[in-house]
Amino acid sequence: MKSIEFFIAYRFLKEGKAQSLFIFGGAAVGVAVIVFLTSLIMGLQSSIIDQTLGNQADIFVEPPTQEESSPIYQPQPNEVVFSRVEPRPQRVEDIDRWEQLIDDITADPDVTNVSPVVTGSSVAPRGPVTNPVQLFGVDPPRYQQIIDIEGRLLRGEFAVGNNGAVIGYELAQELDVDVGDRFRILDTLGVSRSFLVRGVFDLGFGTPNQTWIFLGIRDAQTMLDMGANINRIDVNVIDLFDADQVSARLSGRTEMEVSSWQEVNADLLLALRTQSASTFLIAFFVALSVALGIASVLIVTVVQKRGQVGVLRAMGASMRTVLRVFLIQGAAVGLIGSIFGTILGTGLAMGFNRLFRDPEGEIIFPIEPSVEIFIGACLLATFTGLLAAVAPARRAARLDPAEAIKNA
Amino acid sequence: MPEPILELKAITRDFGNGVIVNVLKGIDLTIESGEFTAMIGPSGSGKSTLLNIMGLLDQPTSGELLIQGNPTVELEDSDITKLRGQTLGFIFQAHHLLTAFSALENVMMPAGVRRGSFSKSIRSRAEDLLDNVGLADHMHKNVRNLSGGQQQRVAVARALANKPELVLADEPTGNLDTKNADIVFELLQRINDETGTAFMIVTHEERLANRCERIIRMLDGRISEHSPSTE
Ligand SMILES: Nc1ncnc2c1ncn2[C@@H]1O[C@H](COP(=O)(O)OP(=O)(O)OP(=O)(O)O)[C@@H](O)[C@H]1O
Ligand SMILES: [Mg+2]
Repeated sequence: MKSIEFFIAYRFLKEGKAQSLFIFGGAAVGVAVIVFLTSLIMGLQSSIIDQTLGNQADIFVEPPTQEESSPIYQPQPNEVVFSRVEPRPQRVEDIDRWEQLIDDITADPDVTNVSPVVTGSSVAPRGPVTNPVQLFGVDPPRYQQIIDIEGRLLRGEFAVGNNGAVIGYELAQELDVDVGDRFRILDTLGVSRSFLVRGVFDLGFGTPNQTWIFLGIRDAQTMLDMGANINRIDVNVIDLFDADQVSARLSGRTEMEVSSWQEVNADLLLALRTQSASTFLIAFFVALSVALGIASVLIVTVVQKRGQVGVLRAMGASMRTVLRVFLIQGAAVGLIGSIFGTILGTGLAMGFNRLFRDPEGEIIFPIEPSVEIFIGACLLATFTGLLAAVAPARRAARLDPAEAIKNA
Repeated sequence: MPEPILELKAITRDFGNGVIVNVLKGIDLTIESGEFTAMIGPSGSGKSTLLNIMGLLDQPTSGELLIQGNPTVELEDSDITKLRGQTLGFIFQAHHLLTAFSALENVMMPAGVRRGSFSKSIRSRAEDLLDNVGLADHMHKNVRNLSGGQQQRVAVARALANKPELVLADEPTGNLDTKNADIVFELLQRINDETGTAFMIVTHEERLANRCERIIRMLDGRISEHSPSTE
């Protein structure tokens, strides 16, 4: 491309001042909407993912599940069966020789942290009321690398073992206990044991705060009747979005059932993907209307400039040069419009962050304008402008010079 | 004897679909280098049409056009553009300057589009040309802010930018008062003397035509008179 083509394009845009301002404005507003919307959705999605993974390892390694045995008697739909169902003690599959397994997993280059977990459900009685709870036997220094518990303690410390327990704050309210108080948990045989509350946490939402109890590994093994075994290994990886691949690799190397956070949260991810798709659709239609706007203004410009185009041709400018002059105008509108548009869109996002807060004044979810969105928007808009200019540019290039000069 | 710059052989040009108008009805004409020619004729006789064909801005319906001995029918746009840029310069009746540009930029443009960019030498030649037509003090003004006579002189300077063999001028003085018309006309004569550039000037004014070496009279799509006669 020749530099004179840029110069002519620049002067043509400059000559049609009001008109140029309108298309630049239109492109900027379109890009601003796209940037704002994309930042909003990306911010929302990454905060949902953060929240989900804030309470969850990237990968779970568990023993293979065994077939659920079918009940002996299958009642007909209209049949009333009186029976006393003896609650089967929670069956906990165990991981034998787990120290070896942990070493194997740790050896994977993409794995950053590994933590053994003993988990199972139980109940914590308080008077006549029983609260369902989920026990987690962990080694705090190792588990802290998987989920930040210390950072979310309201009171006390993340210390377990020797009948120490760290529990969710809503459960603490339910049991009417606090740091230093004792409460009871039933083991698999229904015998209760007393634990000392060493810390109270707030993990941000419902279930963990209402049901989670952290114990020492040994205490949990005793409560769940697991001997010296564990039944889950939590793994974190370097890149969150590689969890799927690492999970597949680990599952090939061990006989365990390995699931990544993507698999565990398949429904959530599907919902997020659907949301992304609809965002994309909106962005597409905004871009389309911007493109149509640019095209229509450029068509008018071609008509207005036909005299000058004819003269340029008479002076030795080729059809190609004329074509490019108008293509450059389209691309320039897209590029410059998008620069202002991203600034405007980011401003909107900042304003949104400032205005919409929850009652405690916290940002509901951060909108994150990123360099990627900037560059993406600029490239997209430049390309859109270029595309929009194709029809007008061809029209300009095909102007018959003699006609153009006569009718100018 | 060198090749003539331009040769027209039995050129016709029809316009319209449905009702067809024969605007040019067979033109034979040869232009030798350095000639200073006037074309005169009533309005609608086909002068501009002929000039556009000579300038490769329009295609004849039939007939042949040779430029420096080379046939031009069936040439690609890029070749026509090149040929036009190298051999021809244009001055239009309504001067047709590029309104988005300054006087200097207008004069730099023919060489600029040929080369793809402006250069120091293009600029200094354009400055010389504008100086030569007496516009040294107005070079940086946008052409809209120049008077009609000044604009036409910019157009003259621009027509000469690529050192053409032949300048085609369609009523270069048509919009000017007598005084300015004389200034522009004398400018063209002087350039013809100094550089040997050939001129083909369409005009309505007998007064100016009579000051040319050669006069072609058009009437109803034909050359009605040629003086001095070529026969
Ligand atoms: N594109 C066109 N379509 C139809 N008719 C045309 C076209 N261009 C020119 N004509 C006709 O051709 C004839 C000659 O036009 P041309 O412009 O060559 O005349 P001219 O001799 O330059 O006249 P003037 O002195 O008024 O400039 C006119 O009758 C005009 O209407
Ligand atoms: Mg005419």
